[in-house]
Amino acid sequence: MLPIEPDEYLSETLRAAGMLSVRRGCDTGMCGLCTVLVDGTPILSCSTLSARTDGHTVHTLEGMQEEASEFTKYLTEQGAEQCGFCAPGFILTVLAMKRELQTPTEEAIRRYLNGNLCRCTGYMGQMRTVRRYMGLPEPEVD
Amino acid sequence: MFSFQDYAAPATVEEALALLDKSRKNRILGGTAWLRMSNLKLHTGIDLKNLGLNSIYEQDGALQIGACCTLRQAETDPLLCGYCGGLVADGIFNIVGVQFRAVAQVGASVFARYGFSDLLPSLLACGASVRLAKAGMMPLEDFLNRPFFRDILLEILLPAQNGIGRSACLRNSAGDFALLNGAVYLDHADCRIAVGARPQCAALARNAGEFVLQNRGSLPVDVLAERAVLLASEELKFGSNMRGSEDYRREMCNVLMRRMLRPLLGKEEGH
Repeated sequence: MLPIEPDEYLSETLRAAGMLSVRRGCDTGMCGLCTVLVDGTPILSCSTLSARTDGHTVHTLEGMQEEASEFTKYLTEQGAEQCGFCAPGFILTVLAMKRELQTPTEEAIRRYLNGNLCRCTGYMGQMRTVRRYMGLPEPEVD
Repeated sequence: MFSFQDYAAPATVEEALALLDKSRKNRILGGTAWLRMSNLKLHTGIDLKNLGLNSIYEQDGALQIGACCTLRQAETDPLLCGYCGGLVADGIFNIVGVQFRAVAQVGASVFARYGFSDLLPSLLACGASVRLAKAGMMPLEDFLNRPFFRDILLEILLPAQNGIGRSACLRNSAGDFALLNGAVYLDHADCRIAVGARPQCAALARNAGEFVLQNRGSLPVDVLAERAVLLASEELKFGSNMRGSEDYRREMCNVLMRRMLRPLLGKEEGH
């Protein structure tokens, strides 16, 4: 049980508890850096009250090392990790997406990931990584 | 920054109402994604999470959406995805990202009457009603036209109907608020056209809807759509903000209406 203030947000609580993979980015709900999984669903911890998650299971990247390491192999293979600041939120979203999307398509993947901003990669490396990880064929190049 | 001293998650609607009425500094929390951007200093934040308002279900063909359902729930719910060709669900997926939509709540978007809401045009076009704890049932349009009052939104009700619908929005960039959004519902007896982010709260273009109803079949699809588009942009009020001027919005309203109306009218005629 963690002590919390009534108006404390989950990102603050988790960081105070040492879960430093939970990044503070825009703090306005736009960038997806602070993504964590609540009962398997990706949510913004900067916009979720800690009190609201009472009785629910919260996963940060620290608790998903095994699943994450499988994906990060693809990530490094494609040179898509770059500075890594957005990586924890991005990785958790991809892991949730793999569980959720029964028949992933390029469009469905792009839609799912459009809440994760990255200022380094230009997204091409990330998309190559996700395509391979999800078992999608490479797009044809003219 | 937004703050409050006490957090309460009442077990009944009566308890929640009593807490709300106790002080003007007590407020229903909603999803807190938008509220947190304010500088409000509240006494008690009231969370409705224990009131069982987080499901979407069908009753006699009508759909009932609990006020605490998240936008993500609404976007992925099979019932809503099949309702009027996915009119409500389609209006949602453009809103920021899945993580944001898993936090933001349907009821908060409706009760707060956000001008930028992408959900309100779709609900208005569907002919939705709202059920409030104190004021009871009323059409969503009436609710939006009333001055703000303190109450608790319990459910949004979508009538049983078999028409088709389409929603659309214009954004300066993905993830930004819409600079204009809209939705159209069409069946044999009704045509409801709603436009939002004007930047005021969404409203119905009644004259344009009436015109489509009276002239469908007698005018070619393109002419019918063109005239309805002009009527809609004439009867609705537009305003200016940092995303677009009044004139720009009026012009863009024509574009948005065309994008929604033409395919719907064409589909109806079997094109």
